[in-house]
Amino acid sequence: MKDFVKKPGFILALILAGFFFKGVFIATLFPIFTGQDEARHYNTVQFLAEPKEKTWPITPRPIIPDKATIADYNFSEEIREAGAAADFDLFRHAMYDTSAFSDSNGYDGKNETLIDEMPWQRYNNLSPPDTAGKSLYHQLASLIEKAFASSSILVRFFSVRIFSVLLGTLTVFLAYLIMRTVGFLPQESLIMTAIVAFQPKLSMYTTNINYDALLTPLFALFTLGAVLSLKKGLDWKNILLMVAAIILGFYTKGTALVMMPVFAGLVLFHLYKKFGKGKNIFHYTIAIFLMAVFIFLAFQSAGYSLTGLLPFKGSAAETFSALRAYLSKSLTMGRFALSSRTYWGSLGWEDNWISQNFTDIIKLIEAFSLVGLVLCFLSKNKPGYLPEKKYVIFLLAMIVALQLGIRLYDWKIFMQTGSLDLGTPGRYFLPNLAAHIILVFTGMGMLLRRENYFRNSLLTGLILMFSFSLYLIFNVVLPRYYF
Amino acid sequence: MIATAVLLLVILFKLLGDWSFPDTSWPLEKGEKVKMEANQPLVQKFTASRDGLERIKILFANSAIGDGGKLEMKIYDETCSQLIRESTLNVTSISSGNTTDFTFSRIPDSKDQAFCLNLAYKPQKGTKSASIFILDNPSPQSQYFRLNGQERPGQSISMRPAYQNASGWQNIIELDQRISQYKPWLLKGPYLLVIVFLFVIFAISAVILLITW
Repeated sequence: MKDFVKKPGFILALILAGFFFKGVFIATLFPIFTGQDEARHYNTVQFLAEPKEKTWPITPRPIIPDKATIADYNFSEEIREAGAAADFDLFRHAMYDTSAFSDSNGYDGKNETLIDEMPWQRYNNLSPPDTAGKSLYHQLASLIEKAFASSSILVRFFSVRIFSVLLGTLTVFLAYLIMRTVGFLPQESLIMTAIVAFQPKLSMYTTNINYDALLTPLFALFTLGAVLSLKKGLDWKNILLMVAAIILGFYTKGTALVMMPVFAGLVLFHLYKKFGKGKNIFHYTIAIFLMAVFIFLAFQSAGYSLTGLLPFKGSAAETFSALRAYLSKSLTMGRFALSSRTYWGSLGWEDNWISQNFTDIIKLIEAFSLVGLVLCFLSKNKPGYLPEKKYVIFLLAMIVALQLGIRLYDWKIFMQTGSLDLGTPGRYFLPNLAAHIILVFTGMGMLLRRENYFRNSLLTGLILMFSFSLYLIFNVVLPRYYF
Repeated sequence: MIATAVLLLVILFKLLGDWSFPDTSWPLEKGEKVKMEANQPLVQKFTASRDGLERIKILFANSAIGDGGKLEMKIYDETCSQLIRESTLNVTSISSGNTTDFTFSRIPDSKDQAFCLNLAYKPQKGTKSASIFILDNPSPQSQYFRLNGQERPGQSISMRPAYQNASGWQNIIELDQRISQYKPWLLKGPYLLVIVFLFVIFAISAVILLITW
């Protein structure tokens, strides 16, 4: 028994089960539609689940710019009415307000019977419908919507949220495989996987109905394929993982584009290694050419336009002027702090010592880690329990690529609207969470130099992340909506 | 292993803290913004709807109180003569984005009792001001309101009394009921309790095994 509970597979199963049930609990804590643009994403799911032939009356209604209530959105009647019945308009914009709880009905809200009776039309009857594209995530979620078509919106909506939690659980599993592949021992890999699993924002965001819930495991899948290729060389398995992640990513969200340059760099690296050893690169060149064509076609068929994604417009002088304006507005301490706060969880919801200082503590730890990573590049003697330099370089490339990709798109939106409408909220950087955690602790490990010190730093990180996660769930999110 | 388990459970227990349930029939809105005169307590009489009054949530307007300023709440009996509870906050600023909580020890037999809430802004030298929101459509439980020495019939501050049950288990049941509202059957009541139990058990077991490996 003692040996069994110490088996990595058993502990990994506990971490995954803990993450899953934590996610379901958080999915329940957040009232309906309170996730990021969640009503719009759910409306997209409903829109895709509608019959192709629109036989019901559709009323034209221009998009209202300043929406005061959920009724002002061009959502299905069911979303607008059920949202209003569940007090969405009360708690959505006022941090201090909650649902008007029913004391007499016990476990049922005041208007829950009405919602369960399903009196409203669930098809979009306002044109244009307020949707968020038709990504792979929405299409998969629309299958759940159809499967539970005879149930109330509460069953359908929360089932899709649980689907997002499952995708989050897949992300945590892939994080473990990445950590094992880059060379960490089973125990250290499991501790870091648990740190990823307890990172509060990952749990909160993968309980939302949002295409990022699918993008995050696809990034992890790509990272796994890439580190496998660095470990064993390119083979059909790891190429398949990376290409599948990129193509599925294209069909999920434009952010997946940032995987392409990293993939190209990785292929060049492998080519260089092969070419350097004097072997024939003909087959590789053909294979890469075919892959490039395949990816390009997938990119086009997913509806993207490379020129449409890039922010260049007018002359070079105009572009540089716009870039200068964008950088002066976006590269500010306040913007960085906002990104950081929203990367770790709902830190802006409370005004106390933890919310004011948590990200400063993280920055201090990251500064130490950065010194360690510099040492990693300068030093010839790397401790055996840390990943090799090639993995560190690759993971850094992933971080840089995502940062550049998001800021490039933010710049494009800035050029169109003249303001930081998109911004760089922390949740956009979550797809690289596993890479981030690996790099932070690799840097720490380089400074600490001894394996037991390194392991203790991991355990300290685990206990802090675990406590922080519980704090945000029980002391921030729960009181926000129920006390 | 036992020590680690105890440590984690202590963290969890500390986090759970004192739960009290606001009476959501009281409206919380940003009404008319009025400055509170220093050392001139506002008086708000109200009737408690339940036993276990333990907290008053108040929605202040943005207030730059400055160093050393205090907000002092006293809960008296109906005649405003006998002090029952008090709570003091040392704050430098208050945001209108969220409520400010005044917590005190539970009043067990508060149901249907009238209370006289007395809220004073006590500045130190150099401190600035505090402002509060006033509502024209108060809860029927609001009875009398006086601000800056002037009675304001038919108005109240933007506040919500919160009540705590007699036992921790009753608090868990009430919280379970609140979370269950507007949720599907599979995330309600006993199912929800099982989900939380499994989350805590799996998560704590994984952490303990990793620490004691």
